[in-house]
Amino acid sequence: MLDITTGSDGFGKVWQNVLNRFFARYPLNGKFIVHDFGATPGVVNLRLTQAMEALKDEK
Amino acid sequence: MTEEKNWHTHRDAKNARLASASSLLNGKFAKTKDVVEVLNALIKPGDKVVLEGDNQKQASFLSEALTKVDPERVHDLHMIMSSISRPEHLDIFDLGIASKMDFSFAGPQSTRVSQMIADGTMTVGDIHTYLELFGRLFIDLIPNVVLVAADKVDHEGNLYTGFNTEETPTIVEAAAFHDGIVIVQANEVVDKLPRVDIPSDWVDIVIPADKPYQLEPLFTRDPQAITELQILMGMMAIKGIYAKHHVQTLNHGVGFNTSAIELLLPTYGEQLGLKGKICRNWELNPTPTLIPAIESGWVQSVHSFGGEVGMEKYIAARPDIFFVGKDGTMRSNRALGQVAGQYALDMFVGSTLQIDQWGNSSTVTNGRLSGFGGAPNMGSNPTGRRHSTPAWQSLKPDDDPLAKGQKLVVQMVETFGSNKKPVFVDHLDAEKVRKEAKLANVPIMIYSEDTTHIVTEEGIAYLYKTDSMEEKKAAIEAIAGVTPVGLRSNPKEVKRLREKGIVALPEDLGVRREDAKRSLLAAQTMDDLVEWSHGLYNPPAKFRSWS
Repeated sequence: MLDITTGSDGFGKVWQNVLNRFFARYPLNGKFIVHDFGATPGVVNLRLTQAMEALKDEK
Repeated sequence: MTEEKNWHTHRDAKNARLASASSLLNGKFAKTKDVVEVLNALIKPGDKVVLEGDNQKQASFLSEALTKVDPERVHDLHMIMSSISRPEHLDIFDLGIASKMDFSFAGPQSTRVSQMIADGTMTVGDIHTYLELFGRLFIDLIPNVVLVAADKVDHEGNLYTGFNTEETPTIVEAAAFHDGIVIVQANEVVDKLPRVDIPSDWVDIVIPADKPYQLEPLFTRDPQAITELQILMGMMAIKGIYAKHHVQTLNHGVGFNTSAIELLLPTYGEQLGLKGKICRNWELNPTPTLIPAIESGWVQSVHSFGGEVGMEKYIAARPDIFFVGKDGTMRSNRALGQVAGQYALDMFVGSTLQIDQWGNSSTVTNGRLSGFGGAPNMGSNPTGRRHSTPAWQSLKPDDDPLAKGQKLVVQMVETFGSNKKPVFVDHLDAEKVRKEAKLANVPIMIYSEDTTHIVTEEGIAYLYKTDSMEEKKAAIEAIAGVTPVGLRSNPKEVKRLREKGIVALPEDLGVRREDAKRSLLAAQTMDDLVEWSHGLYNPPAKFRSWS
């Protein structure tokens, strides 16, 4: 389940790509909420992967 | 009997010019208020004029005066400048005083330079890297007049250029030994100099300036602005490149990525047990963010192209590290620093605005002709190099018995810029700019063939390991994220490249994104840097967050 709030026009496709890549590489189930405060795709990817690492540690 | 040819025409011409200004001179000295008249008298139409225009130091008193000369007497000047920095450097074109420019860097004026070329106000000879421009001062851009800046001058006309010596000696030598005229603005006249940087025999005219020459702290980066992404990339670079290749000698191109690495050495580098094994000898402007690494014992020596405002006292207290004269103050030298950067370093690490699908990079983007500075020199492989070091040797190809090593040239970029436009593109803006600016070649800063590694937030591409352009393109695509270039990459290809060791993701390097925290920086604020320096570092006003 995925919820994205973005302030950037026309950037929806880019976020879609970031997420496609992320889930292709790291198959995970969960609820993801992303608030885009003008972050670049690199930052969003960082946050997702940091969350993933945190989840892995908890296991 | 045939007439003897006059082989000293330049000397005759110089003597005539100086004679025409003799009423304005007391020995070598002119009065501050007479600066415009001195320039009117000594500069002739069509002259090649070097105006300082260094990276940090600007002969601002002379450049302002140059805008006030009479365009009827002084026009069509061919300017030769390392760095087009101040408005006056371009005003002289609008005023009909100058018509042609050969330069290296135009960062602060890049937009106006583009506009002036487009509307024909300025003709560009060419854009250069610094060392290349300095070389031409002795070949086909030999100056008629040079306008330079010094800190102090004594009554004989000897110059002290001190901390900010930069390229002044090189510029002066080109004129002094080929009958050019050397005109110097000095901050102050003293009885005794701390030391002589340029002897009076090389100097023709000294004019005390009305205020000190302009100086910009270009290499100071506030640690507070370093992001987690830059820290992640820094960690990957340290482990995946610096440690892997045993990099001992290096230069960091100015930027937040490299500042982050400097601040990660005492912490992350220490954790990895790398102190004493990497980053010993530096060619680097004295960036404040290197202070923690120096204080922690990582650094053996630093030679600098120029100075950095605020670092003077710290450097004077660390003469074992920096290049400090008998008098106790530093001397910089851009020409020799660039020579070292070409031949004497294991590695150059820099950043850029665009990288194309083949790995060529440029900071020249639409409407902004920024030029190159030192990057093409620092970021190119010196095929003339012969001495071997572990890092250089580690890039030697296995399959050729006559092969040799290679300089590591690393580009560090995030896949998207802060303007949210992709850094990785199919074609550089520079391709279009070439046509608009009427340049002979596309203004590429660092070529694909010289680029050995690219680091993005996605991972590292070890381009030197690829065996074809196809494979190089695939490696770039693998770390280009969700840019249009990066979207061409597929999981199968990435897997293959990772298995071959051509691409490494953070997990391949054992770097955890969770560890990429600001708390990993040895200093997080300017205040921390001051503390590391035992109060010796004195940040310029604009970097102070306290009164």
